[in-house]
Amino acid sequence: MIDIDRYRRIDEIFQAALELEPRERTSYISEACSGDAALLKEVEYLLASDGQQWELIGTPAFEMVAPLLAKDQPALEAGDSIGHYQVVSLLGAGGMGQVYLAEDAKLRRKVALKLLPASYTRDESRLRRFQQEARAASALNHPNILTIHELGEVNGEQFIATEFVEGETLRERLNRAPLNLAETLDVAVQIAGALAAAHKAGIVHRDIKPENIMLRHDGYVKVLDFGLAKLTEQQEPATQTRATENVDISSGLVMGTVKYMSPEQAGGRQVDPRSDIFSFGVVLYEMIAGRPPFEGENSNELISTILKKEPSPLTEVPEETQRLISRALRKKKEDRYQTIEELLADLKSLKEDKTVTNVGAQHQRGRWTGSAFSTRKVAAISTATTIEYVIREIKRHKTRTALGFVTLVILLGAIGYLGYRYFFSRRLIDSIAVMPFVNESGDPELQYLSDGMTEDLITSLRKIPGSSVFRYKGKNTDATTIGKELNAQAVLSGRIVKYGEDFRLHVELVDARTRNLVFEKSYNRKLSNLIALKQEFTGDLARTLRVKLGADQQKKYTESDTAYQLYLKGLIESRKLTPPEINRGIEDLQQAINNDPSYALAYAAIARAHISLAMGGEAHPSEFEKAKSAALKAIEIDDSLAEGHSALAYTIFVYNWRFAEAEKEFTRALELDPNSCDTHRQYADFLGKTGHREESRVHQKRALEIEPMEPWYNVAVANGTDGDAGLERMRSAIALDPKFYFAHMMAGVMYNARKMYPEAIEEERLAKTLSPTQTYSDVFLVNALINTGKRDEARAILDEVLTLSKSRFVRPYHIASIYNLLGDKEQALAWLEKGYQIHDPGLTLLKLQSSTIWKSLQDDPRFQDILHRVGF
Amino acid sequence: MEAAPDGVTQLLINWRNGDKAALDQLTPLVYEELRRLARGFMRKERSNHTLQTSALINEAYLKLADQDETNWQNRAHFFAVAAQIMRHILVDHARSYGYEKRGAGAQRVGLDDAQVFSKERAGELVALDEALTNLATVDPRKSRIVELRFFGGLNIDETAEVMELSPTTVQREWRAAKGWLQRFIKG
Repeated sequence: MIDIDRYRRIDEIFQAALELEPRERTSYISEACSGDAALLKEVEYLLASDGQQWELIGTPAFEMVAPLLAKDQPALEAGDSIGHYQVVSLLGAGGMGQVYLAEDAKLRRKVALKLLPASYTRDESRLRRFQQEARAASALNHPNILTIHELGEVNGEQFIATEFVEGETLRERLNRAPLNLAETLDVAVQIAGALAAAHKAGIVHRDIKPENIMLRHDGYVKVLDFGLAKLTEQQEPATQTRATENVDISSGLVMGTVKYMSPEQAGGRQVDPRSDIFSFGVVLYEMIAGRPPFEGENSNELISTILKKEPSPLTEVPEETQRLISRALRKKKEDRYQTIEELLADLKSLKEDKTVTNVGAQHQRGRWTGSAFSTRKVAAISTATTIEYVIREIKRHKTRTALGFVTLVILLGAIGYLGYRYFFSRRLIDSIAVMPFVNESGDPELQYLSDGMTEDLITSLRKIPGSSVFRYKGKNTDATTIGKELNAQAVLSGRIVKYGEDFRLHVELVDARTRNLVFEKSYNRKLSNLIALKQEFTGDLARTLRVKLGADQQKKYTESDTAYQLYLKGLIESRKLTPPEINRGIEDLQQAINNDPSYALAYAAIARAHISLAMGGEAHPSEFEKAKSAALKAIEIDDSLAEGHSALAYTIFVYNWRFAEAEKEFTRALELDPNSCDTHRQYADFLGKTGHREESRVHQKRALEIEPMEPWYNVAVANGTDGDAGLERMRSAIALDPKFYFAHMMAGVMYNARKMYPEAIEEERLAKTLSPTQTYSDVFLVNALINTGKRDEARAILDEVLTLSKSRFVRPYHIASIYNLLGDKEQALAWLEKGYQIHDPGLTLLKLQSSTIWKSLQDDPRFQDILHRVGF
Repeated sequence: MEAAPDGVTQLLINWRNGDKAALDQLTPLVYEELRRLARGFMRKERSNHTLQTSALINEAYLKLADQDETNWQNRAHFFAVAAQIMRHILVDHARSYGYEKRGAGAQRVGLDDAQVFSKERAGELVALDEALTNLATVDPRKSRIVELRFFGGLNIDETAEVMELSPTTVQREWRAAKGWLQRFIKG
């Protein structure tokens, strides 16, 4: 160790030198070290290291610590019971839950008990699909498929009890020591056998990896977790971005199963049994090579490797084995083994090939050296580059004519070109930014038409599986800029022009990367032909994007053009912010219904409009009754209408306080339309207020993903983000629409939470200026004022609100909150009671705000009683 | 006094006043809270926003300690405990890799479920820990700054507050400390 005096000396010179400009350092240190060469060398060394990139030091330590801390936290301890199973010990934990060794108290046998994380089992329909498939696989009674004893639920926690396998996972086995070829083939044949049985029954595993394969001590192999992937999959093929997000934990951390994904999985497309074949190929490769075929520093890189790169050749294994694996690992599923039976047959013949078995057995560590195979034709390298391959082939078969060679090269070139085209055509466009259609008719009356069609089109397009449709609200007109802003591949724009009775819609779809015009068309129609126009246009667009439209996107909702026009008009009005505008919208929507009494979508829009009025705070909560009856009517006409269920869900949540029922409706609405940002936001609101903060954030983020420029969603996500990052996000949210009072109000809430009261006061005052009729922001203003000792000002606000309440409706909850912040518990409770009587939606905030606004009343039994009566 | 919020405050005060046993009582409480934060962190959707360690520790502090009686010295000590715990956990785990010294056959390991970071990273952490211990023998102040900055995730100003130094000093010492650590690591 360095001598302390010496250290101090060096450090002193080092630090002094650091203070100098780099060019002044040399002369300074040589003078300071005055001839002590060793000293000079030390200082020079330290100076040289200054400013060097040191990645470790720049990595947030908590990011590394968190998985360690979270990893081994068992939810259960030895002796705990789940149903009739008694926990013995924790066997392990993975992304899909913790596994315990447990004893079945009834049958006195050991079982493996897997607890499923609640976040995966919330969605009942997903859970059902998983259970169906897991049961179906287990029912196959295949020796290589893990037997499930029970799929159960205790206190809302889902668990799976399976046979307990004494042995180790293939992952553990591979970590311990490599397998030799004979062992590899033996394990592989058993896995393939399990997959063959499952595929035959129509079950795709989707998550084949060494962690899901158990090797029993007696040599039996068991494939685990059939169906489990059903719990995490999207309702529909995800877009590439989403698939990435699902797996990206952040660089440096574990990446779970991306390594074993097939290109179609990594690209977020539909999977079929051939996807399992690919994943199995990855496992085979790893068993033989001792390293995975695809690697990457982070999941994005890994995904791109899977999609584009060929694995490095397995040079030292027999040709047949190489060929088998490379055929399983083809990027295009059409080029792979088409069925697992074929692959199984090849594996079996390899296994039965005595030479292979014997040679394999000679190798202790499972590595095959060239010499071991010198007597066999250790062929070249089937996975090497094509040119190398061709040349090698020519060298080997000198008899082949030069012409043959040329033909072969041309042929390979052609295949390469087709592959290239195929690759690019497949990922042509799966995300579109839609610009608001421009009304160039000169007739302001037609504004509703351009806005309404934009709106309606976005809603329809969002129902196309696998594409993302963004609404562009910014000011740019350049496709590339817009594409970048929204991360969209193409930009759709439209113009409406009027000629007497006719009007023309001209649309263009531009590739954001190349600025090429992908699609362009003018539709000349009479206004009375609007529905047909929409159908035609949606169809054209679908063909351009190479997607098939389902019944959902082709649904007309009404046959009456008059009703459709009124609907578009009402839709636009009802989505505005002020009560008079919303009421006008409701009138138009009502007229649409008068024209077509079976127009469910119009009913749903009316329900939504009444919700907007009621949530604005100026309408009496009885407004919700109107929302509810419209929503019920919409559902009565068309039970598959997501918009109806979503409006009903929100109403019975904020107004009827029937939480369980509301959740059911939310789930149903999301099942019917997983891309409805409205539903995601409302569900997030529900989850947040009922104490499910993390899940709430998930849906907030989802809403924002769908509608990245919507201030509401930006505000919600900002509010759900901790620390300075949250404030930063809030500032960008405000920038989207600086006049949006709600954003300023929530900024104030965030400042309050961070004890930054002067900032909170400023924001809340601004919110009030922007929207003087609401009383929501007054509560937070009072909170900030009191915390800065400005009681009198706070008191004045109470007086203002009370005065206002004499002339029009003010939410009792706001008055109660202000009273409580001012310390008047009795008045606070009395006003809460008033709110309770009329079902003031504000009371759904009680639990969320119980530790802030209601802190002083938290232990008061009367407060607890109200909480309880609301349903918390 | 046990896990009650005022308990933590009292323990922090006792520890500050030289009661070594207080730290022993404090550690499991802070550890538990860090575990809770970690669970929440891991459950969160894989968000893109950078995680602010100090914000999290602060959250833990606000939850555990009685805020009325809180003064910044308690907060400082709390951060110090948290940073130590995180250092301990990380280095402990890194050592379990049976790492080889850098350069000597360090190999890139696949990303497995059981491993939280690469073998290389584990080697780096162990080396850093050793260097930090060495640094502490000659310059405990620099060593503490690194502990707070790196393991505790504190920024310059926060570190300055915790250590009762000026931010300029912390900045200078931190810069120099990085140089020394690299020197110790590279031998």
